[in-house]
Amino acid sequence: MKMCLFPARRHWMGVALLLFVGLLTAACTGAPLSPSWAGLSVVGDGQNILIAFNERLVLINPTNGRPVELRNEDNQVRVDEQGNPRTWNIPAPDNNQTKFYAAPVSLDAETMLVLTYTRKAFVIDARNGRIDNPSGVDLAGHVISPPVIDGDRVYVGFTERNFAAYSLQSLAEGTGVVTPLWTFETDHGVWASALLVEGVLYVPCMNHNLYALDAETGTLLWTADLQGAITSTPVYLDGRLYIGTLNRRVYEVSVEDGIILSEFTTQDWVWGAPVIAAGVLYIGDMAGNVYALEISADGLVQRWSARPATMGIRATPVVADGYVIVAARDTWVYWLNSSDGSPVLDSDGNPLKRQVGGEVLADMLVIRPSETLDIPQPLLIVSTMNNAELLVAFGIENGQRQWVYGR
Amino acid sequence: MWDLILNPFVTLMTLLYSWLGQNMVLAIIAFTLLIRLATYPLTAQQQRSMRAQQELAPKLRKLQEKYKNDREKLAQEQMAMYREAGINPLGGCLPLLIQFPILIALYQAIIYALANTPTQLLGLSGRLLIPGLDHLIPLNNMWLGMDLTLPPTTNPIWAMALPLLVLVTTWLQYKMMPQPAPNPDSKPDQAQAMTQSMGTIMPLMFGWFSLSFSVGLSIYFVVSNIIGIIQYRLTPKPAPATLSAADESENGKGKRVESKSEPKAKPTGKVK
Repeated sequence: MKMCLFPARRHWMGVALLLFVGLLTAACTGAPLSPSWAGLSVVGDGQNILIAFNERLVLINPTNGRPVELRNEDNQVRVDEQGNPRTWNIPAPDNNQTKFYAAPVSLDAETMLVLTYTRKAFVIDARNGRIDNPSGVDLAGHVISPPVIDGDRVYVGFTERNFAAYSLQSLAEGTGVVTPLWTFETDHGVWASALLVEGVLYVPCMNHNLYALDAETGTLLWTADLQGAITSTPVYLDGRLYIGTLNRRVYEVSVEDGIILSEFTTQDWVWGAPVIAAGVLYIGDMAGNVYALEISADGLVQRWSARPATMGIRATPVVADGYVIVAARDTWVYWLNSSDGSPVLDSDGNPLKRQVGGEVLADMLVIRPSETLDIPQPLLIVSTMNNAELLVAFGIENGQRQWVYGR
Repeated sequence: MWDLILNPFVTLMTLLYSWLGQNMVLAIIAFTLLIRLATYPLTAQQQRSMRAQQELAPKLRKLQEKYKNDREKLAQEQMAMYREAGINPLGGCLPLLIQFPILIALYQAIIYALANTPTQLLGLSGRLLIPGLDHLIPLNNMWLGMDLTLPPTTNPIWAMALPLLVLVTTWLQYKMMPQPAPNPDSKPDQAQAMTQSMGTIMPLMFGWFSLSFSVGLSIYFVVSNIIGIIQYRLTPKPAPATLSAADESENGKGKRVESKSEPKAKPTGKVK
């Protein structure tokens, strides 16, 4: 403070500087980010869209983008004390302390299970859009990806260095802390859902390992060291697993023994899961590239690559109607031809792309056309990190914006 | 534009982590040390300037008293005194301003490197300028049973020692800074009062911040404070010639005036 020119003003300058340093120090740590992005799923024949984000779970009508209205046994819309329709809109049960990022999973037509980032499991009455057990069941750690449910088993990865199997009954009916049936310890978190194939769980871990576990006992069958953090669920096809890593690789791994059969190098981190259609694997990287890799006897062979986006592509591409659709952190959704990766052109001859209100990080959904639901063409559902456009629906065929859901 | 500073910092931090046995705390210490060394010329200039101005403070007060009714003349005399003493009055402010973006980038590099959630890790994406470093991700953020990405309050109890260390080292660092000399008439001085209040508020503020910031950042604060203390200790005092020149300027005729009521500037560089 002593080095400033005007001694008479030192006091006020000093106080101002103090405040400035304080604010700057606080600002430098950044505003608290959501730890993850929205979890989305499509529920039932009505193809309602379930979105789990931060402190709220909402079921959205795919026809109009509004929360689903609750109805009574006579199919009349239920209303609250003010006469407003009651909607399927569940707030966190504990004054917004609970955070949802993993989409709930349906147990049956009337019940869902949701695991939270705040270490709780809740059972949802799907018909009435409410949580049945507001106190919830205590879990061993944070959850950011949906569990895998198989019969009476629930398999869940935690960001706290382990993966566990629970009895469904204990989560649905228990209270307090529930003991897992078995736990598999890792030395880093599990951020993506496991894949269950024929009694074997394939667990992707941030410690670079892909584990194969016996689903019944949790016994380790094999470990594949993929040399990079794994942030997505593997895709299974014909006895092989396909998965990307933050080490800029896409791997083909044998399910028998975890041997790496082939690998493909990308320009940047591969965060999202691939999608496979007609023997071709499509995947994006964090530099904004999209790759089409042919799955052949010689391994993964590049068919084409394109760089439509200026920022990373985290979300899994959608392949539909001859298009590969990717959504990026640069807030754009791009339509590419699946044959060669060239941009699809709109009726004016311009590349077909649409801007949304924020970064796209969550995986997209596709809603099938339905006469009953008055949905004439397939819809692409995109979720952004902007609360004003949490969900945006586009017609897949023409890219036309259909509706927006925001908070 | 900001990435031009930040990305090399994040890369350097990750390299150090790799070279130092994948130990994040050692990486933070080495990184802080390197950056403080790189900015040492600026810091030293700032500290020299502050000390020199402190030495000149008694003379400055005399000038203020002499020209209290003529601000223009006072400003002219002040500038003349600074010029003759070879001091740039902005010599303290400018290095501080130049260092500020570097310190913020250093601070943010630690936050990015300690990414612990998907959205935080996304922030690290594209910042590593050397491709071979990707295999280190995620960096090991455990140290002495503490998760460096979490605040002390959600870590084992011994993590609460860190906010205390932040408070103590910040306080020590302020104590090491040159203090304004007291007024000849022994009345409370604004600058002195403010420096004293800064010396109380800042440690408390940073100690408080450390309760909610990650443990990794607390380690950075502590290391940075310790280096700052050492730097203050090592900064040489201004040369006597500088002060003589200032004396001459003040007296106009090159005659030094001694006053019993005007104590010499308090020696600095020692903890009280």
